[in-house]
Amino acid sequence: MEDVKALRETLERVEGRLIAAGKVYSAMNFAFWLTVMAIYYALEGVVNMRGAASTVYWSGAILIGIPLTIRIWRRFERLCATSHPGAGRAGRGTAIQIALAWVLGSVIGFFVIPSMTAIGVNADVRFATGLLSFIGIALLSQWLITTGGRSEFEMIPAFLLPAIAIPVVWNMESGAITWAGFVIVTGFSITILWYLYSAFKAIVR
Amino acid sequence: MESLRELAKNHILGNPTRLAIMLYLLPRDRVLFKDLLGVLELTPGNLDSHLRALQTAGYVEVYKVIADRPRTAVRITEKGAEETGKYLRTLKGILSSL
Repeated sequence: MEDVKALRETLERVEGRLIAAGKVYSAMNFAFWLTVMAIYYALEGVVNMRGAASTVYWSGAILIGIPLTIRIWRRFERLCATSHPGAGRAGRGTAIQIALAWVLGSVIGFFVIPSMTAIGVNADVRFATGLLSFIGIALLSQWLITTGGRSEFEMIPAFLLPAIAIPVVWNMESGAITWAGFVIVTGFSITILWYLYSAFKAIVR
Repeated sequence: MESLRELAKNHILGNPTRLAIMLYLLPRDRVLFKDLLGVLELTPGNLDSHLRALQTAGYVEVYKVIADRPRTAVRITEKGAEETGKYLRTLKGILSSL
């Protein structure tokens, strides 16, 4: 019986480390996008990032970010499969659903809301509202598609904070875009911290 | 009993060294042969024979890369990751029921 207990403890330690690795990978994914946003804000102080420069910057970030996210996600799935029955590589259907969630978020956030003149006092407010809606819709949908809302609660601040901020930014008269950006950065930072905390908790449990 | 039978049937992961190799590979994309040697404290011949068994089962891919010099690298396959996950879950289930 002592051997069984020792084996069980070893297995739990191994599982804890694998879970921790998965959490760190998720944190890395959010940290990448946080860095992309931070660099954007840093550049904005030096060069005019409106218009073409912004389009080029975000297109480049997406081109680098999507393959990186997919790679990280694959590793995360692999690690999840060691502790969650039924978990494993998501099929093409799940990947399409996630892509559709981001497309839906961007259509609402960058086309529908900015064209609604009843929202906000100026175009900046409409863009900021759209940006927060885009992040809120896309990440909430991704979370629901991948977890069914039953796990990965660390992701919640990344979409909840932008969603809560929508009614606030709606009534702003100036600085709406910058404030919306910082709300997203805050949400992502809390998510990263939470993931790292979960990783350490999984190691020392 | 069914889980025990299932566990006993997996001759590849039933070996502790091969299970350790798979567990080391699981969170990583690829590992160099020399790094695995250092971590697992095996002789090159011994590690090579375990990797051959894992490769034959389709659990890993062994290939050449240019690092500081031409090196042998090992990568876990989807099948390998899936089987390792399944093996760990089964093992945990059995131990929890004891």
